[in-house]
Amino acid sequence: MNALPQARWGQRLLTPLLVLGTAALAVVSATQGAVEITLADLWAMGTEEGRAAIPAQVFLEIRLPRIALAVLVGAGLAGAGAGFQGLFRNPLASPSLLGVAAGASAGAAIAIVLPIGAYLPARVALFAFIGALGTSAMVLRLGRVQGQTDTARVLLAGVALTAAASAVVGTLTLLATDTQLRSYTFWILGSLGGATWGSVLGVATGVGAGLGLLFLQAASLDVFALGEEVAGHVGLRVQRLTLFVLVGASLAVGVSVAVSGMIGFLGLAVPHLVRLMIGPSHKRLIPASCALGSFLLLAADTLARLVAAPTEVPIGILTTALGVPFFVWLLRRRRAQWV
Amino acid sequence: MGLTAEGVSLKLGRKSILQDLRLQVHGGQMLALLGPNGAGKSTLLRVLAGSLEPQEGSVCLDGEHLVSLEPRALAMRRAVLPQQLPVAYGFSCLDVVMMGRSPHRGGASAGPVDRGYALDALNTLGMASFAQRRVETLSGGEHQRIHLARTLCQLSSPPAGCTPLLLLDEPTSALDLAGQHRVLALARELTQRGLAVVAVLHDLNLAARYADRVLLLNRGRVACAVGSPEQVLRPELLETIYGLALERHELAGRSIFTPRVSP
Repeated sequence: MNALPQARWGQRLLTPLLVLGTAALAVVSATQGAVEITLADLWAMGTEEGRAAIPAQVFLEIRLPRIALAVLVGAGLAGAGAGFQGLFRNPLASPSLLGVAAGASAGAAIAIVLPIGAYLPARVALFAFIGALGTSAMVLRLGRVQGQTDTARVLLAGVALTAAASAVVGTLTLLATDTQLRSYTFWILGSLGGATWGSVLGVATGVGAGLGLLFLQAASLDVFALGEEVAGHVGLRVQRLTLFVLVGASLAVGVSVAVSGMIGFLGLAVPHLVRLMIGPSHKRLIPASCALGSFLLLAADTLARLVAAPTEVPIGILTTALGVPFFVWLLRRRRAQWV
Repeated sequence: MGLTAEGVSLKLGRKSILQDLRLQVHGGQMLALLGPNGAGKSTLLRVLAGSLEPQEGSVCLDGEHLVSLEPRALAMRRAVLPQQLPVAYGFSCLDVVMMGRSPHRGGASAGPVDRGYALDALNTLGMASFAQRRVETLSGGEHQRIHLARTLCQLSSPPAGCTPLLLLDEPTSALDLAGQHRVLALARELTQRGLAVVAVLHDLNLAARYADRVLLLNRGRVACAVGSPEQVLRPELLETIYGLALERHELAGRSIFTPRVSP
């Protein structure tokens, strides 16, 4: 009567293995770059002179925050993707296809260009969150016909809102002053390069709160897979679930986009891939998606720093370049609508 | 006590769907809802489930208004098999059946007790060997039976003193002949355990055979007072409602309806 025991082991072990893998990758990533940092340098940080040395300074002030940011943003985008896919009951629902990432970037652009005060990362994050929440709520609203969420409508609404968001961004760049334009361009390029401990702390708070909210809804999201009507019949508070997932996922996406610009395909491909490996139960799907998202984004960022050194490849280009072939393969491999 | 509906009227937009409807189903009874397509049977079932609130009138379960009950408290004693059953891709049949336990366990994850109820329900429907099958691989009839098992699982430990209510919207629509009789025989068996069952049916013969009482709906109105199949299923009444000439035959004490062949 039990499922295959191997499968059960795999289900339990995937997340811990991915966390270990990410940790190992972090060590590799920390030692690669313009300034050579060896494991011995890291080891020497136990002593005072070791901490004062240049490799240690580079490690603490540049590489470590960047690694932390990659881990957080990767988890945020992939975890939010898992949440959206559960809420829309659709494997194509992802921050980018729903227009949520575009909404977040429009919010961020407004925050940067609005003539109130100077450039403030926290304000950018707040506006990006509002943009993400607004778009996701609108897509959900537009995608519903008579209480049922319709896939074609959801995706069309996502397309329309993405277009609207880019029109907003385009208009704002025309209105922006030179200084604002510089901050804006710096941001839109989508890099983890500007990581500081301040931004890491901010993103950790936002992404942590958003993903925490999502994870609390894991059991309800499973029941929600039965459809809105049946979920209601078994006593689920559908509106509350919808609100929590929208806020949680939008928070994670908004804060991630605010700090790193647009990074595509993680939110789409990662939950898909995890579902393929360990099944659809959100209690495992959400943490494992976060862990795989962290791992992949850290890997992509390390590559982005190294492949064309001394210049950096924008990370969004890299994740898309890796993600698109994967996604095409996935579509061809599986005929089922939901992996 | 069971389920009572009083003066229920419902409009969707400008269209009046149900008008001044009254019915009562006690624990131990099975009520069949009959009527032509578009008569409002599914809408009535939604109202009885508490998913739709009527503009006028009230629906009570054991004297408590459905709309005043917490969704979870209601779900512990009322289960619904809808007509449209979305496929929960990737989940196993056991997972789906076990989701019927979610109102009972609150936030806690499913334990061995829930698993036991789920396996019992699968057994009852003869679907035990399907426990680990993924639901998207099932046929329509199998899928319908899995969801029926889910409703049984949901009602397998109702709070003491309550009448569990099972609402079935065309529970036999995807089933073969044997399956139809098995499912309705099961519904009858459940009434003997004290459940109140309301089933939307299309087949007059199945209704006459398995239901204690029949409600015939005609565009939102009760065409004839709720009564026993013999009282309600009269050929002349059915003829005006369905617009089809019917004959009732008595065979071994049972009523059988066939269309009258015009000469």
